[in-house]
Amino acid sequence: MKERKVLTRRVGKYEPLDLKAYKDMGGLGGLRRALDIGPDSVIEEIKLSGLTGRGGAGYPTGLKWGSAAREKKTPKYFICNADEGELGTFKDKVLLDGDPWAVLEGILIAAYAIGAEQAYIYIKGEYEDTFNLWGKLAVEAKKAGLLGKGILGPVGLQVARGKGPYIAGEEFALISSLEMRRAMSRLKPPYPSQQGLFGKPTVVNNVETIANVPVILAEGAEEYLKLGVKDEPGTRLFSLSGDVKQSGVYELEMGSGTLRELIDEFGKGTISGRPIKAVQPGGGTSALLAADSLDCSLTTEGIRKVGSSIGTAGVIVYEQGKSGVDIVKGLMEFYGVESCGRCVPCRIGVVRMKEIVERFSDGKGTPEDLEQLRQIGKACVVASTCGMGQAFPLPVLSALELFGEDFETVISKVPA
Amino acid sequence: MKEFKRQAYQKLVEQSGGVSVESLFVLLGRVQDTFGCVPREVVRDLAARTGFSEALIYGALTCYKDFDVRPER
Repeated sequence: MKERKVLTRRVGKYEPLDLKAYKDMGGLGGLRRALDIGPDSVIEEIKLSGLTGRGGAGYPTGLKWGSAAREKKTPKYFICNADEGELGTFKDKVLLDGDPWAVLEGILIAAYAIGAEQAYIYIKGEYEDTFNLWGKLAVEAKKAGLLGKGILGPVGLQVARGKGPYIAGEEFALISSLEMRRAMSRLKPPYPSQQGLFGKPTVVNNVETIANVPVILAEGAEEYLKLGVKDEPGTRLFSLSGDVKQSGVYELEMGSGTLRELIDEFGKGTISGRPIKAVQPGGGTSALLAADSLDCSLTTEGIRKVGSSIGTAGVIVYEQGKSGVDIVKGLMEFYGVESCGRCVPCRIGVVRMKEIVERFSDGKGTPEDLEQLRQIGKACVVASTCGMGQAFPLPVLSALELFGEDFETVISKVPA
Repeated sequence: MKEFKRQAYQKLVEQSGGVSVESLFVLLGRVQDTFGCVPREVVRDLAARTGFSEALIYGALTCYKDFDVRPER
């Protein structure tokens, strides 16, 4: 298995603010072609390429753009979601720091295609250096005529910095946040492409998704389709972390190997050399996989077949010796304080589940607790409004299924 | 705590291209990063200039853990 560098091919090869170097390395080719063929053909090209969102939900990008472009209301907005808050995911930072002009080129193409005059990039609060870099980048871009009253007509870029909440990575919560309201999700429809920022048509795309756009336009959708497998073209940036010797971000062609190969070849195995206990293939909210189901292909479909999801492609590895209770406790400590409070199942469920898991961790669980954990988890999955509530119980539920004996052990040791 | 200076605040407003609903979040972020908190004067001023109520802005600010409405002591 080998890395296939498409999005990361320029990362670290030039000074981040040096537009000329970026141009010399083939940059802005996508934007030039976009201006040649016009907005409608750009959207067609993206649809043809089969590009799907890389932020977790995997919605087809071309459809999102198409429905925003069809809306009559103006102004329209484009938002680049760089608030990567998902546990075990750090791929966007590589692109934002290493090849920022490519991300900006993608933003400009997207804004041009949907007819937006104002674009935003919402950068995670913790990425202070990235935020500072992008502030300077926006100034450079304005000087070069890419932003402001430039070659595309007027396009503005606001560089916003997130102020802490995990939920702001969800598209509606992000939009609320930019409207200077509390970061809260809401029911869909209407989708952001119909009623988004300030009630206007808005497209929200993840950084990695946007970084694919210049590649597709510069080389053409036909070329792009040669990457990856039939139904899932392109590459994915896998953030590998947890108990592996060598964590990092690796760009792989879709379906070019298995999860086990990724962990063994790029991660160089587990830290202590003990066998793997469990893996989360798609960030902190994806279901745990046991060691025997790691031979799945690295595609959305391949991972779904073994019972989890590719999500943000943040692969978190846990080695033997950790109890299922500890794994779940670490996750619930994080999610337990992050519900936005909009819908009841998530607001109450996440806290109750956290409490029960903590009881187990303190060695005080009961069989009733176990049953309640299952019930609350299932209720959250079916009844929550947004992706967070629907997903955070998944690792807990899968842990109960795969490592139920860890929980049973705690119960059996409780003094009667 | 970094002292609140009206001039410095005015400069931030200019950098953000004036006060508008569209850039309010970005501007308040800059105020927080510069002063270490969002002073009450700023909330009052921005409320008057955007037409939002002071309560709305204050309520949103206190919801985010990286915004402070009082200087750190």
